[in-house]
Amino acid sequence: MKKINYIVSTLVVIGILMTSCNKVLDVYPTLEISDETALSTAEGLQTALIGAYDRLQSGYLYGGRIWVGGDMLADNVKKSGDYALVYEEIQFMEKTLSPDNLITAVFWGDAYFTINVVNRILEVIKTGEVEVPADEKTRIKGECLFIRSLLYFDMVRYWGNPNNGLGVPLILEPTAIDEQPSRAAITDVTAQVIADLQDAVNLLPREKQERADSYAAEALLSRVYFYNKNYAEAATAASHIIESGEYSLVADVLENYLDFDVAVLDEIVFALRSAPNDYSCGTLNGFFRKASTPRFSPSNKMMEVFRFLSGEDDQRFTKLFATIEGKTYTTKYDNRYMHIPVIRLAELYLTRAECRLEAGDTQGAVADVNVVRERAGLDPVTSLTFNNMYWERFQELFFEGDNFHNQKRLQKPKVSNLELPWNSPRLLYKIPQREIDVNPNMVQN
Amino acid sequence: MVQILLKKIIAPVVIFLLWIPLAIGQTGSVEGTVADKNTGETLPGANVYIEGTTTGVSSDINGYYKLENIPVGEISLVISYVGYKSITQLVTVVEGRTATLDFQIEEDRMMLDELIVVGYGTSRKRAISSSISKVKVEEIKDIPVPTFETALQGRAPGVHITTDNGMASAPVTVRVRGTSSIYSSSQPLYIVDGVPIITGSYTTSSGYPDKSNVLSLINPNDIESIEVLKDASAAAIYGARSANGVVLITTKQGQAGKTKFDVGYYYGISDVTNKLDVLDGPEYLQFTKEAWTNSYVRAVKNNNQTNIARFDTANNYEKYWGSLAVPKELAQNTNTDWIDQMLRKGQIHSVYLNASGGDEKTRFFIGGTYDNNKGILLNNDFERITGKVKVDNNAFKWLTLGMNVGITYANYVQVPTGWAGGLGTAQSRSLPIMPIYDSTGNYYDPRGGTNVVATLNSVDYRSYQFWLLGDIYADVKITNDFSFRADFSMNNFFQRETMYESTITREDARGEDRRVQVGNYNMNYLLNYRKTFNGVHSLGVMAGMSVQSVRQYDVGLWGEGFPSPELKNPTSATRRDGYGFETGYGFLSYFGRATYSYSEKYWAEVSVRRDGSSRFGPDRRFGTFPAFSLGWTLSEEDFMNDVPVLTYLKLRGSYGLTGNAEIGNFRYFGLWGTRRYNGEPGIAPTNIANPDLHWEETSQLDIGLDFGLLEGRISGGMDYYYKYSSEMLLEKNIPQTCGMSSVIQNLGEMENTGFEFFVVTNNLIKEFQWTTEFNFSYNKNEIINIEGQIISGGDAGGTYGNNYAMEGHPIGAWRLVEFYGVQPEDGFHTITNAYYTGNVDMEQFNPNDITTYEYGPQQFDVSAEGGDPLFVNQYGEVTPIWDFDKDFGVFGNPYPKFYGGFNNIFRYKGFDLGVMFTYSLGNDVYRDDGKFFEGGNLGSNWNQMKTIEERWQKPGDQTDQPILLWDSELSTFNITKYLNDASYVRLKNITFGYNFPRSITQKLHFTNLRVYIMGTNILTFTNYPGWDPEVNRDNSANVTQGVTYLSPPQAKTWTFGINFGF
Repeated sequence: MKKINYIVSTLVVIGILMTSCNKVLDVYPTLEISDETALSTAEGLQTALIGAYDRLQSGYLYGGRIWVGGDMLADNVKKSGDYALVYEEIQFMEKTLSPDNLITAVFWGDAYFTINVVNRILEVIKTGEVEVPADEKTRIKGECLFIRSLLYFDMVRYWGNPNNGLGVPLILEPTAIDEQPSRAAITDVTAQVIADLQDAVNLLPREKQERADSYAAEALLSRVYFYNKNYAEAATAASHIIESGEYSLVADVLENYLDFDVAVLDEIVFALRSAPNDYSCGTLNGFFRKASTPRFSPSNKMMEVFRFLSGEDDQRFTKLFATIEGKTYTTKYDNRYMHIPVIRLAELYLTRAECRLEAGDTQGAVADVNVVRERAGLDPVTSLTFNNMYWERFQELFFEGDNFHNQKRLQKPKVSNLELPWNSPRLLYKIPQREIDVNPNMVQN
Repeated sequence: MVQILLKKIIAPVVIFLLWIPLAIGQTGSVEGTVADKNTGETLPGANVYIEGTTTGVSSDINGYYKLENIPVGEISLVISYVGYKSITQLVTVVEGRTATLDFQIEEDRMMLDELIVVGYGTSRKRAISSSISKVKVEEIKDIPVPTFETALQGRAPGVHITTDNGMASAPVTVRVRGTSSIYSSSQPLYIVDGVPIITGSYTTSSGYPDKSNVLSLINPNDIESIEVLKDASAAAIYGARSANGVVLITTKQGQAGKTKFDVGYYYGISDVTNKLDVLDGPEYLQFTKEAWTNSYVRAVKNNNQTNIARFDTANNYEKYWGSLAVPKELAQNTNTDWIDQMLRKGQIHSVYLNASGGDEKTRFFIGGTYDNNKGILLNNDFERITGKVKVDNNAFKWLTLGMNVGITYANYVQVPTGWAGGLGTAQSRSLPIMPIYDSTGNYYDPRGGTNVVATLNSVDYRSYQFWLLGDIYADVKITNDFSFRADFSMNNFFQRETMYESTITREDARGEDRRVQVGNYNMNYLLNYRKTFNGVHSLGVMAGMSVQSVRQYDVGLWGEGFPSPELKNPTSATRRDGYGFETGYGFLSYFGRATYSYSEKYWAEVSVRRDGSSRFGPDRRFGTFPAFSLGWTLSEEDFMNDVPVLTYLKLRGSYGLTGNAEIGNFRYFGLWGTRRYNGEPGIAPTNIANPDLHWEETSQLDIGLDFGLLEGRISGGMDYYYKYSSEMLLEKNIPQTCGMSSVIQNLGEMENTGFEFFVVTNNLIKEFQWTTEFNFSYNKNEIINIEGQIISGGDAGGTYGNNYAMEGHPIGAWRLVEFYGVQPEDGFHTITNAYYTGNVDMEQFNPNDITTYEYGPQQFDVSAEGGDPLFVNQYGEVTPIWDFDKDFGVFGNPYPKFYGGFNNIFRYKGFDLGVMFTYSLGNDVYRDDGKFFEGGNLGSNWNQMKTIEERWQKPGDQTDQPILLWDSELSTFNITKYLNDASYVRLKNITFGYNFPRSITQKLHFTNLRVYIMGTNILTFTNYPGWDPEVNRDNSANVTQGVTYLSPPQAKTWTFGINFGF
């Protein structure tokens, strides 16, 4: 009987243990939240918006490669020799971008990821299914439109094919995973960007913010107009910023790249911000900063331009470059805690100058250019040609993502060491192979 | 109950009482020796007992036995000994007399009654109709490998094993009958003494591509046997997790008897199997200068002003010297062999001590080991201490209790490899013209990442690992035929990783401290019924359930900027941040199995398992996995008696369904993870919901046969199998325009077809013995359907290596452009225009610029300069110009067609010699580093392989190495030039040992004493041009296999060892 007792009691214990067994299958994530709860509150929309900004600072977007991709294709940078280039970077240097190039593929993926996040926020705002205070609603909407426009503008600059007019797919609302959009025309993408930015200018607060504000939207609008050769509108938008009185050129050319942990910036209209233990600039440091064993240094040609055009008087030449052990590096991205400037006032002066030159207002153009030149420590000029404008922009905005696109805007016949025409397909980003593989409507560059 | 009481208690008592008078009355004795029939050697430890009783003894060290106080009359004496055929002899015991009976027993070469561990139980070999390979401890004992899987290489047909590299705790890629999944894990399920254990690597990814291996925490010395369940019938009892096969590990157990001690020690030295030839300093300068000159000549020829200026050769090559990584003076006076700086002669010490024994009621095993392995890479050390206790107790006749605890502590010092540094950098970016030290004796350019000596001394990266595998169980014998078993086990893994990088190589020192905790808890309940009716119908039924719950918690802290080099813990740093990770999963399973056999001739088995997993949504959680097998032992049939040469012949077949759920956790949820920007909290999507996600399934048909000829002198088996995987868990690429890049889905089909064969022949069996073992496996993998997707290795969870999963091809085939050769002198090639549109515009068209081909005619000539690489385009035409989009082809297979092992064992007197070869034929390795490494781009600051000496230099040169150029497109694409046949035959193991004769061991009071010398990876026969053909950059992904990127080579080791027992 004793044995029966043992067996019975064992079975009872086991029976108790077994009844709780089904629970073993109920395991839930503790580090993530579900789709259902993510965008169900006003706070949810706000944090999702921050999530979109976070992706903007990706090393493949404004955290780094968006700025450098063009300079690699234009050979404004050369390998420093301090750190080896990866295979994908060598493709840039050789102008043999392949469809599986990770640098372009992640740019594409990160951009649409961010666009999808803002589209989902915009959708919730549109349907009104979540209670959001009115002023917050307009602000969130404005920021979303700004982010989306910024991305589409840069995508269409890199992928837009001038030979057939194809831009990138224009996605403006959340899409199902099996949708297979085609590439929209460059003109359609641009028109959307302009319309969205016009909206954003009105929706966003007309006062300086850490994130996108009305000035940022209008400054970007000016850039978009300028690159699309609508010089009159570009000048108008630039004037609004210049004349708002909110911005001024900082005295020292280096200062733009030093500011950290400041609520509002003097010259920078929009920046990707860094906060303590939350920096945006690591990738750029790794590209250029001497102490970070950088991949790139300025091309010999760039140094010659500075040497011959402006020389030692130019503070940009003396302060933004340093020669160490016989090699030259830029100091623009030397600060490890910097905000990454996306648009600064100097660009708007130069934009307006060129627009004025286009309109025949040489005196106005000279005045704008001299503001920038004087800050750099250079003598004012009294006359200007378009060629002068090209080099002014080259010198002021080097490594800030301008020159390559500017060469394409000006349809330069010999771009890069390989002397390729501006519209050469070798200067275009490829649509990622994985995208071509899953979307039969996608046409390769 | 009454019946049971009658049977269990009363009957024995009655029988006992009946015996008493006899026992008290007249008794006699029997004595003699037990010896081997063939060799005549006496056998210690043989069991001699009276049939049907527990009366018996073991033979002593001289094979002598004596049974005393045996009741007079005729008795049946049984002599049994492991590995020998039992014999039974009738003896007449006479009162007061001692009968002398010497026995000569014969080795049982077929071992048909040997017990084989199967899922949740054991079975006799003859009763098995499924496909199981058993590897015994003797075969892998003392092989100096840090992890036991390595020792299985070439020993089990159908099991393909690759040690990924020669590091001290290297991961091992194990494939049982091919790869049956694309995205889920294809490593088998590992079960130690019934417990599914933690596997994989928990080292951080912090730039260290060659990971560690948790299985190295299992002490190979504790292992008694390893069974690999290969077909569906054997594996399906592990249901949803068994599609990749199951590896059952049984650890050693104590035997009743005198306490035995076993001691062993070995010492080994190791070295690389092969050394890679790279350029030295003067050669590097010679070839880069040649490339510079060639680039200049070409620029002049093509009138490219930018490049003429760039490659100017004026002023004695001033610009060339300025473009080198180090100043001219230094470059000319330096010649560093960086590879030598990273390698050393490895050293291994290993010592173990086991004690085992017990009595009728309690048996125990206690073991401990210490290993210290200083690997072939400088600083790569692995130190391990293990301890194990296993105790069983028969508390009552009907109750057995047991406990089994194994503990391991390991200390692993990692070094960077591959792209991350160390040896990987030493062979590539550390140029021979770079010195280690500058003129002041400090490291030269320590922060450039290329001074690997500086890095090695600056970085200290260790992991301290603690492993616990504990199990308690109770076995209840309810009746003679009916039993119940319950066991609870826990398998815990703790790891502390510390990493510190000093200011030698960084601006601010950086410290990191990371803790990983994995808890794995299991419960199993089993009911067993076994009965034989009428002497011919044997029935066995097993039913059970099992529960597994696993949780992982990681937390880490990093810090930068320390007040003093003495302070290394990140808490002391000025800037610091933390991170963490948490995950878990659970399995709940019910299973059953029934076996039936008739007269040991006909066999049938059916099993079913129902599995639930937390990895799938509530509606799709459970899957059912049935299997059955049939066997027919032909040699038991009367009509086979006419074929005396055939000792044993069994036909068997099985079919069943197994599953796979190794996809990571929480994949069916739609999720948003945390982000931050500018110090503010944010969220962003991480996973697309798929509530329909369910088990991946693999069905498998197996037809096999086992045979024995000439009393087992020749034995073996063969199997044909067909594995069909469907509902595969796959990351399906979706248009990224929707915001996400992929969604996990059940889709696709893949098949593996294979054939296995093994044979063991006892060529000589007398005093001089010679045994040969040979096995051979063939496997063919093909992806049948993945909805037309072309899945890159990167998308399937691996690193990039240009492997793809594509329909109609084996998994992991490469997409490459076919390299044809080198243009001997300037000339033209006629090619078809793949971009032909009909809009011919000769103004725009340039035959040497592929981007203008849309304006070109249908066919035209392109010029090729002497020394240019030539390729084969999609039309099969040889051309210097090509387009990856259109001209790539599919090449190669990372998995071998044929593989196996060939082992010969010779024994004479006390000497033995084992010579074991393994082979792998028909597999390819893609040298992903080749494009930088073999003349691709001389201006890339990569050192080059010496093979570039064969480069094209002047018109008329016939070679495969193109002209050297400072920069060229060649380094930007993947071409077949770097895809190499990595077939190899390797002398994996050679052992020469001597067992001291008993006359000596007795004097020393030892039961045995053995010394040996063993070589591992001693000779390799291969045409592969890299370090070592046995290489795998990344074992976590099924698609990215057979790729090397500066991966470390294998080690060859000589060890000297001694074992003794007392």
